[in-house]
Formats: sequence, structure tokens, C-alpha cells
Amino acid sequence: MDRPTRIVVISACFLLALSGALAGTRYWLLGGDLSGLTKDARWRVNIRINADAKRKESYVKLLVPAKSDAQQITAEEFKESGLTHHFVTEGNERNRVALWQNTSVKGPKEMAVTFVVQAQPNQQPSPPPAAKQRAKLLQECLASTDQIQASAPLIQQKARELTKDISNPDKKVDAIYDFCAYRILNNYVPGTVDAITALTTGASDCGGKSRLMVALCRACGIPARVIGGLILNESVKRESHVWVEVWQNERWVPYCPLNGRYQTMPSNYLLLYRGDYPLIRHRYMDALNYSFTIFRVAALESDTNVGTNRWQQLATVASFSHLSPNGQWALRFLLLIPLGALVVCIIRNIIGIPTLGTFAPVLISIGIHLAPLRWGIATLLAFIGLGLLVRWLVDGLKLLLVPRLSVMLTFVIIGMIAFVIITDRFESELGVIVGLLPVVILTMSIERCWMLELEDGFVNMFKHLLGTLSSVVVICLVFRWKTLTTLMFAMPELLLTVIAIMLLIGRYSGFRLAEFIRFRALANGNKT
Amino acid sequence: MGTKLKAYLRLLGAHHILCMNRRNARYIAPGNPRQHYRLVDEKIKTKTLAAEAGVPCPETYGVVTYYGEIKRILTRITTTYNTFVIKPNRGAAGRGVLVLERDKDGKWRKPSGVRMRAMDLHFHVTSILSGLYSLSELPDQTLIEQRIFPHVFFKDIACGGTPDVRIILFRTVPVMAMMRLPTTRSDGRANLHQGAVGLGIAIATGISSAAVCHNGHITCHPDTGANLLGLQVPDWPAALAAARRLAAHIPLNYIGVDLMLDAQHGPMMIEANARPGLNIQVANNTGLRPRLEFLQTLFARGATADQAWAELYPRIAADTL
Repeated sequence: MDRPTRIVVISACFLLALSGALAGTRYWLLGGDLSGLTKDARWRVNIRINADAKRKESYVKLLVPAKSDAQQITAEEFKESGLTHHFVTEGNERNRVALWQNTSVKGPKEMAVTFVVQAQPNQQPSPPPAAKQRAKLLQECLASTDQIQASAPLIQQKARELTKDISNPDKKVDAIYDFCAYRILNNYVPGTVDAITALTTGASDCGGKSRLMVALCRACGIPARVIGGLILNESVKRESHVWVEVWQNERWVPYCPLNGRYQTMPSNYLLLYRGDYPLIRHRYMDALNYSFTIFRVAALESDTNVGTNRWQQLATVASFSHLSPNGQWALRFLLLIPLGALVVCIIRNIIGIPTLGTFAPVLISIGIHLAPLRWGIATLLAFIGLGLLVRWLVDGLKLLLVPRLSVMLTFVIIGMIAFVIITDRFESELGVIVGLLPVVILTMSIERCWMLELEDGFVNMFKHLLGTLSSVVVICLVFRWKTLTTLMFAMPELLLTVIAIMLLIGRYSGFRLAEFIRFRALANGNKT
Repeated sequence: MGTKLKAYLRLLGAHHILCMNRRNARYIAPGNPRQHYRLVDEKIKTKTLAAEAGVPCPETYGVVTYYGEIKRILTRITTTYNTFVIKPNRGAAGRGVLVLERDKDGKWRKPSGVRMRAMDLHFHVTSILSGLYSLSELPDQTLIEQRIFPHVFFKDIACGGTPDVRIILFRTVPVMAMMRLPTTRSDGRANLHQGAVGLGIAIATGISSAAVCHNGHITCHPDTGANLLGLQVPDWPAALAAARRLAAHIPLNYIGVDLMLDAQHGPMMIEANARPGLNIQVANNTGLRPRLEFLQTLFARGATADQAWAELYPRIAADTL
């Protein structure tokens, strides 16, 4: 072993040991539970109500979220002036209600509740109700009401029309959902919209669409109910949100006909109550006004169970848990780059696959890894195709290099604008690809692709293109490997491990796998 | 599958192939200091060094550095010469090289017969200047120089282009050589991966010993059918001497020197390369490692380049490395 190799091996071993020791210590201090270091978005929600009490017996009722496995509510705090608060549980749905009662003279009153939500991504169907209330609850979820007119002839007829040839109840729900989500237009309407109005006007907001869906399900004999809640995004707003749960296969399955959510809800849907109730009710109050203030908070604060003792706090030193969500978000992206670079080292120096530009696959993968892989690759191919087409068109113009690249760049941007418009129309999240694609790198790759074809022939260009695409696929798979990226985020000292592996690859002087093909003539021929 | 792979690996091991990672880590990284790369990456600089070392190279007709000079210099050259070559100063692998000749009507054409108008020449030069063919895509200079006419030796074994000789030297000792013969498939270019023939040359004698095309061993030229083995390259001692003189003038340990054999003037230096490719091993049907490692032990013992040469050659000839 020569001197540089020796130094590299020794330092790599040192780095491996160091990062292993650091990560191990952290893991041990936290008792194997890294979740506190990597928690997803948490939201602080503040609901503020102002009203003028006309009488001494005035009260305000607000539906507040109950804790469940799907949403952890912490740091709940009430503030009020001239009122007292306590909780009651209402209805068969067992909704949690905060009740503020006037205790003093009439006059302006203020009340507020603040809590922190740790929502789990992709909320799955809710658990079934306890057997005791079950029959009653399901009976209630088939009833026809003032707003959900399940027995009205218009609704009955529509339900029959939609489910005419369908016998499977799940398929019936699908047909009803499709109708409510895509045939009824999204349109804000002031006030409460009932099911019949939504059906006859063909346009409604979340309330009308949800009530219509519930009414149609009930008309088919499928229990369904309205769900009330909030969409969590950084904002100060007055709009709450309403969606639907349908009783299917002994579970409550969620649907949101307004935003096209089918059977799973994103983590920013906060459930406040079940049933078709107004969020706020009152008695003898005047000039009632309310607002929701919502903002993201860092994952680790005093109100979580991580960091409660001194050792656990030690484990959060030099971790990202104290950063703001925006900072965390940026770091999650930054941490992908060394991982991608490591994959490139392996692809280039151990496997020996040619690519267009050394780190272009990493940057492209950062752009597309959030979208489903096949769509990401398809989009990438579409843009490369578009770029090559433009390159072909401008070739005859004999433009200088930089203006030519700029023209291609601008055309690629126009393509991206079209892409955003189209994906936006379908409310697809694919649009996120475009914002993150490294457009300039992509354009350079397209030019390199063209020159390769011109100078080294189509086969060579195809090899490079295929090499680039397969590298992108591999890197995307690494980026989407949740365990790995979470581990990197929770324990940034693992970057030392990455460096150690890079160092070792840097002194690897053996064959690249592709060279077995390259030198095949030598192995097959006889030694002369 | 497993046994086949094992046999395959043993064969590659028996040939002592120098692979890309080993070349980069063992020879280029320690032996070729980065700051001297430009001496070989820029053809104008290499030609200056060659002139100092007394190595013949094609006459420079003109150098274009600024867009404003293109018209003036092109006009001067197109009115003075009947044939010439335009190439990028920092080009690689023959990219951006344009050979031009005047036909009997006074029009400029490529050797393939494709007509080149004044506008096309102008555009080609601007492409070079903007760095299109340049190694690191930096703005570049354009070199316009004398065209080499291949030696009569190549009459039957090169098609549509100019063949060249590549000699790899380690600390000024030539270790392996090959000739790259253009074919119809390679469209006149001397790149092996495009279908040019790689002809392994015995370094001591200059006699061709093996030939490959598209990674398969051949004995005849794919276009002309002419025999390729056992040919004596003309002026071989002169070619070796030229490469050694140039290498001694360049402070890089591991280089490839490309020469062309001109019909009148003999071996002429075209360019040098700080990262010479590994396909030369395929053309010679043997690996570089034994030769390089043998030289390393000699140099470690304090041998001079001449002593090392004297010791290496008999061993290569006798195949006792």
C-alpha cells in the first residue's frame, strides 16, 4: 500500500469510527427513538372569537379538535376575559366542544384557544365507533336532514342515475365521488349550501359538495357524514373546511370532493368535528367575529416528550430539530446533494457509466424525486426532447454559442410554463417538478447531447443519454429512500461516513465494471 | 455464468490491463501536475515547446483570437494556400477539426467533397472561439495550419482521413504505441469508438503486431482488405526520437504524443495529451501495467531515462516482463 492510499484508508477509518460513535451516542441517548429529531410539520393554531354579550346568560360554543392517533394535539391553552370555559361532549359522534359562559355583565368579550397539531401525513380511514353507539350512529348517518335531503326525489333520482348499473357499494361511492368532485364546479358561495342547491346549480363550495355527496350516499343506503375542520397553511383566515366520511368495509373512509382527495387526506387537514354542525354556536351574542391564525412551528419544543430530560437534550445538540420548518426544509434538500454525489462516485468510478455532465444527474434528481418516478422521468424526457427539437430548429441559423443556448433555455422555459398551466388545470402536484428542475444544467445537457450526436454518432449519444437517465433513476430511488434520508437528517454526523466512502472510492484503482466490456477483445483474444 | 466470469477476470488479470481508476490514481494524479496541463491542452503552447525541442510540427498559417479578426485572417489564408486545416486550440479527440481544400473551380470543399462557403468557414471559426469544442467550454482560439498528407505507406490502409501514431511515454520512455487508421465507418476520423482501426505497433521495432476494429481482432483493413499485420512503420526511429524529445520538454510524467507521418517531412507532432486513453492496450493486445511497473522499479533504483529504455526494450521484445 503506497503512502497516499495508507493516509486515505486511515483517515477514512477514523471518519467512519467518529461518525459511528457520534450517531451511536445520539441513538443511545434517545433510547432508539429518533422521531423527535425528524418530526414532520407541526402547526400552531389560534382560534380567536370576539362577540358582544347581550345578556348575562350568553354563551359561545366552539368545536375543538379531539386528540387521536391521527392527530396529536398538544399545548392547548385558553384565554378569555369575563367568561369561564369548560368542555362538553356532544352527539353520538362525541365531538369535543369548548363552552364559554358569560359570568359577568354584558359587553364585548374576547375568547381564544391555541393548540399545536402534530398531524401525520396521509391520514388513513378513521377507526370504527364503539359498539355501544354504533347502531345509533350509523342510523343517524343515513337520515335525511334539512341540509342533507337524502330522501328528496331530486337526490333519489340522481343517486339512481349515478349508480344505475353498479351493484358493488364501493363502486357506487366511487361514482358518487367522481360526480361530486368533477361534475359539480368549485365555486365559493356565501352562506350554507344544501345538497339540493349544490345539485341544481351545479357549482358549490366545500359545504355544498360535501353535503351533496353525503346525501347521494345516504340515498343509496350507504352511511355517510360531513366532517368539519381546517386546512393548515400559514395564514390568517376565516374559512374552515368541510369534507366527507363514508362507512365502507366497517371503517370511515375520507373523501374531499372539493380538492379531489380520495380515501386519504394530506397531513394538513385538521379534523375538528364529525357531523354537519356549525363550527361556532352562541346564545345572546352580537357582532360575533372570529379568525384562525395558523403558522408552522419547529418540531422540537418544550411541549414534546423529546428533550424532557437533560440527556435527551444533549442528544439534540447539533441536530436540526431546533430549526424553523423552512430551515429544515432547505436542509433536507441540501443533505440530498452529498448522497447524490456519493452515488455519482459509485456510478462513475466503480460501475463506469458515462453521463452528460458529472453532477447533472444529481441536480436533475433533486428536481424530480418528489414526483412519482415514471412521471418524473417522462417529464425529463419530454423536456430533453423539446430541447433537442429546438436545437435542431436553430441549427440552421448558425447562432453563436451563448445566444443559441439562451434561445434553447427560453424555449425550455416556455415548455415549462405550458407544463405548469396543464398540471395546474388537473390540480396535479407534478408542477412541483418544474420549479425544482435545474433548467440551465438541463439546457447544457441538451447541447452536449446534440454535440455528441454530431461528433460521435447517435450510438454514443444514446449511451450517454441512457447513462444519464439510469443514473437519475438510481439517484431518485436513493432520494426517495425515506429511512436513509431521515437518518441523514436526524444524524448529520453521518456526512462523515459519506466522506469516508468517497475517500475510499477516490483511491480505488481497480477495474470499473464497464471496463470488462471495454477490454473484452483483450480477454477474448490470445495473448501474443 | 460464475465460472465464465471467473475465467474472464483471470484473462484480464493475466494481461495486466491498466484501468481508468488506476491510471488516474497512480499515474496522472501524482505525475501530471495540474498547472502544466495547459502545455498539452493548448496546441499553440505545445507547438512552441515542440519548436524549442526541435520536433517538427505542421506550419502555423494563422491564429484567430478575436471575432473581429476572423474575416481578415480567413481572407489572407484562403488567398494564399490551396489547402489547410482549421482546429480549436483547446480541442480534444479531433473535435472541431476541419480540413479544407480548393477544388478546380476555386471553391472550398472538405475532403469528403462537401462544399464549404465563406459563411460556413466563418461560422465554424466563431463556434471554436466561443468554446464549443474547447475542453472546459472556455472561450478558445482558432489555429489554422498546414495540412498533412499521409505517407505513401498508408495508401491501402487508411480511408478518407489522415491516420496518426499515438505513443505513450512514462518519464520520457516510450512504453506503448499504436496507429489509428480511419475507415469509411469512422467517417475519416481516427477515433476507435467510431470504428477506426487501432493498429498495435511493437514499440522497439515499429512493426504492426495486432489490429482491432470495434473491439474485435482483425487482420485486414475493413474497407480495402489490405493486410495489416507485420507492416513496418516508416521512419519509426525518427518518430520515437521526436516523441522522446517532446516529452523531455514537457513537465508531465505520463503523456501521449500524437504524430502524423507526412509524405514529405516525415513524423510531425500534432498534439500531446495529459490523459491518454486506454484503448491502446486493446490495439496491442496487452496491458500497460507490467511496463509501467517495471519502469517504476528502475527509476526507484535511480536509473536514467536512457538506461531504463535500454533495459525495457529487450524485455518487451522477448516478452519477459
